Amino acid sequence: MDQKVLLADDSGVMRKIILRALNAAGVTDVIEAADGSQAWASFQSTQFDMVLTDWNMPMMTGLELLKNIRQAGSTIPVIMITTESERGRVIEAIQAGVSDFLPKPFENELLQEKLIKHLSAIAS
Amino acid sequence: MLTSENQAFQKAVEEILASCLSCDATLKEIGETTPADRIHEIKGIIGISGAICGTAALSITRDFAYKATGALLGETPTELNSDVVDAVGEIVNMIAGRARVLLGNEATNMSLPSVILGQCEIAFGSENHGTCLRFETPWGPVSMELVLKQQSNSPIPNVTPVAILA
Repeated sequence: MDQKVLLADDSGVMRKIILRALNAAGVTDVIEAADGSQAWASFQSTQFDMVLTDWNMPMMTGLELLKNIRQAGSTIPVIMITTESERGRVIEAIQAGVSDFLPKPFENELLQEKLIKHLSAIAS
Repeated sequence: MLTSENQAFQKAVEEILASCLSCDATLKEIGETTPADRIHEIKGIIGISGAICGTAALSITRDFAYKATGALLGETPTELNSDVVDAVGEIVNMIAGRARVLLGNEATNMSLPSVILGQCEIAFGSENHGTCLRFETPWGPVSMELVLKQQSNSPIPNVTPVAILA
């Protein structure tokens, strides 16, 4: 797959784990961001096909990043990788335009399944 | 004392260590934190606010931290590097997130995790008594130190003061 993915997570270990899963799914063009603010700066300067973001990050949360992306008029898939799985927050993210959730901890197969689902939709 | 908070954290520790690290943890005892708990060299700490507020700290040995990082990344580090620190922060984050789901409390927020390196003791102040859940694992002892309070409906969140004693 030749899509460009933005990966935002303040944990370097999580970024490595997700990056590995992305590579296994055939996605190699990945820009990493260590917080929401960095991710937003990257998003404004680069054309991405998908965003994978943690929820709880310094500077700017994943939810704020999602809202900024949607307010900028972008409809690309945004997947939130989060432990914040309570109903109230999920609803808030859905209202903000999230495309999918990946609850932590996750199996690599589930991440790959979601990647393929959303990236295939873009490709077609 | 096995309160609902203690039970949630016990289950969360057991579930996260088993599912993320393939490391089975068994609760050995519950009691107040003592100086003997200083055997742990690394603490992952997370603040909790809202309907339940306080602090949760996962205390592990250096060897446990290396093995946990190796289980997450597939490569076991031989020194305390940024991967180890990130891994400990991520593990305590997932434990607190899982406990929060088990408690069914939507009105609770979690801080970003902090990781403290070096043997130390968490002091919770005169009005707060911390509880220590001590686990046995194949990689050595693990403790979950908790000081949590159910909050009233006060619009101003209380913050439980803690100090780290080196």
